[in-house]
Amino acid sequence: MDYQFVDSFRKPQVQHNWFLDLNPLSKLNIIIILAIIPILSHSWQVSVAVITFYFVLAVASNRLKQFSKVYVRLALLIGSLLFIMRAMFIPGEDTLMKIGFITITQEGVDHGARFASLVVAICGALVFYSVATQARDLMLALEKKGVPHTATYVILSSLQSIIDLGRMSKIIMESQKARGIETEGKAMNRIKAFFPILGPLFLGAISNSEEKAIAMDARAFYAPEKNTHLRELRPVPMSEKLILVIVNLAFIAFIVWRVIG
Amino acid sequence: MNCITLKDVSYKYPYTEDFVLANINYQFEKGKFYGIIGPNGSGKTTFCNLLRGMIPHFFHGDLSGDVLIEGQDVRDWNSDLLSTKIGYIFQNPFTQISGIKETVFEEIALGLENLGVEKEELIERVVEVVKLLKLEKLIKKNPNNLSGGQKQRVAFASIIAMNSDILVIDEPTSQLDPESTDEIFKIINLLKEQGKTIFLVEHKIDLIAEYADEVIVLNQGQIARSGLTADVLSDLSLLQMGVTLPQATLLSYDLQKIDKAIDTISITKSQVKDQIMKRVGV
Amino acid sequence: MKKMNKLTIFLIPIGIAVNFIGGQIALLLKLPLYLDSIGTITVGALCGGIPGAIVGAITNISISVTNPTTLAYIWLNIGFGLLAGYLSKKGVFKKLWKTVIAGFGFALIGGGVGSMITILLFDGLGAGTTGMITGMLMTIGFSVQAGAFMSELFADLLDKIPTLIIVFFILKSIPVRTLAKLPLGHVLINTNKLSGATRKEA
Repeated sequence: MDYQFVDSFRKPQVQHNWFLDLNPLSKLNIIIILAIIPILSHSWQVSVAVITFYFVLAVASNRLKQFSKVYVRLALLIGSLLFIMRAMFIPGEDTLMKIGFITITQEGVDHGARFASLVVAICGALVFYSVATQARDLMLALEKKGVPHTATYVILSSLQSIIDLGRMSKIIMESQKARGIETEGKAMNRIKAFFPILGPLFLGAISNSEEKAIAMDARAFYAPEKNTHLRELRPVPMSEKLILVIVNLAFIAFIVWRVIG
Repeated sequence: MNCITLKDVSYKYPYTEDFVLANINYQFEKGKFYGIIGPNGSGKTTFCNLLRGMIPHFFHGDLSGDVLIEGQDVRDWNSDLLSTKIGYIFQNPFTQISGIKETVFEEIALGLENLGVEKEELIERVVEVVKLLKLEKLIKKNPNNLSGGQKQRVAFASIIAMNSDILVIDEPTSQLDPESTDEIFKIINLLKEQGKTIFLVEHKIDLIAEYADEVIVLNQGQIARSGLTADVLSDLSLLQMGVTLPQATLLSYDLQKIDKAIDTISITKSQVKDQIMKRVGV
Repeated sequence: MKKMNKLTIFLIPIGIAVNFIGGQIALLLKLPLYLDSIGTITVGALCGGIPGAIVGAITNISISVTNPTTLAYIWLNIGFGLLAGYLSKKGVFKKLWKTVIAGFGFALIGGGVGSMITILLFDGLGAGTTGMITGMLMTIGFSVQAGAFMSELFADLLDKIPTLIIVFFILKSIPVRTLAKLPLGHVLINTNKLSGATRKEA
């Protein structure tokens, strides 16, 4: 038996990285502030600065690869779509270019740049939080705050169900193809192919959920005792609390400055 | 002492016409190992759900007669407490994995977490069960990615860890090879020796013959035969119901036909072997 | 959530996964439909408006990790769940024609509320095909509001009617013994057909 592994549960779960080891709720607090700043500032420069900051944080927390893998593609896709559409369709005085019936104006370009960078910055908050926090840690932190474990079960279990059903759907799709159901070609054929893939998947899952309910009941899911936790998070150190207070105060000061200024 | 008493119990599922269980009477004693057998569709799984209190707490429908668990009517039991009293393991390993834990070790600990067991004790109990079921190599693996047989052993371990007084076990070895099956049976027997009451549905009749104290034969929702294992499993009329008898039983009948080669009918291999040895004078 | 029906708790994750997978299969088959609210509507119809809304909310939150703009549209999926629960109580999902007509109600939420969100948060020009169509409509003289409403209502009608038909057949295929354990199952059980209902319990 790997006793080192068993012993790891006796200590709090840490990854030895100052940012990753922050309490999931502290991280959430910081990320929400980072997401709100560009909304309040209305300038593409601030959005770009925040986006750059996510990359800095990603490097600092050793998550650059995971972060850029999702974020770069997403940012380019959403950013360019939002920008191009605004540049093309928003009317204005200062015409830059005319292509057919589309008039590109300075106002459209400005607005596009501001808006696209804002949305991309907000996306950054979500993507970065998801790579810097494990769902199970967030749920553990929430349970400690009094969220019932039925609620956290639902969320963690959906993540696993997505994996399980995704795997199943691939199997069903292959076998339907093998049975000669057309999954390509005419739109009508493709629509018709949808049901025999999703139907058995969904119905099978519904019938399994009955057994799952019985199985979890057997695991004392509804036991009246307050449940304990095998994994535990690091107790929030004083320094972390202090940083949070400073960050939040600075944020409030920023809002006040924005409102008055 | 009786642990579960059934008095004239009948049950049918909601919106159905026929009774799945009818006129069941039985007194189950604490600390005994009960084997439950019967042809497919005879009501074995429903019977397990009845013993476990899922009927009437999860499966509604018409339940008549009395089901007494430790002397108290099942309807008066708090179903949440019942789950801590009676452990339940069933056939399908895939639905018994919680889907919310990332290692086998944590999966086994889940039930204990829900029971509010403190961490040190919790770790000790999980380690104990891991050793008992020889799951050492699996503890760091993701339970969702295991094979059916491995999942079945993990599901078994998860319930055993909770240490309930009564265990209802419905075909726990359907996905296992003969070797692992033997081990599971040895563990079930060990639990019985620790004083737990065991209800086991199992098709592998030779193992029932070896370990069960009493056998209940269900047929079309009724108790067709019941009593001491040796008596029930030497009853040839069970064959007409579609129940398989132990190979040893059939062999000893055959041997008896040959010129009374042996005196008594035995239901386990070792007993038959002893008889033959006696006869040939070794 | 403590008092919630025991089976409902286990159906919510399934609903979320089905929303997710449904959307993915639609993309894989290159269908011009979203088909990403089948789980929400089915769970709403089986378990009630609140569980349906929970399915919708969690779906959009989890998708937002890979496509963050979906977070803005979380209200739609919540609305679909609530509406499904309400309509199910009224017995709408027992008949195919009623279910199809209900599709217009869902499309109205999807198109109406959806375009309102697009206008409020994205100035009417979302990042998708509908945004493209809105832009086109604007160049031929429609206001941004009218353009967004028209394009999104159209896209949603195209999506919700097939979605509702699929939900109808899913509901129809769920065995009575399962329905019997669900909060709104009693509405969906067709008592006339019960004589033919088989008991598949072992």
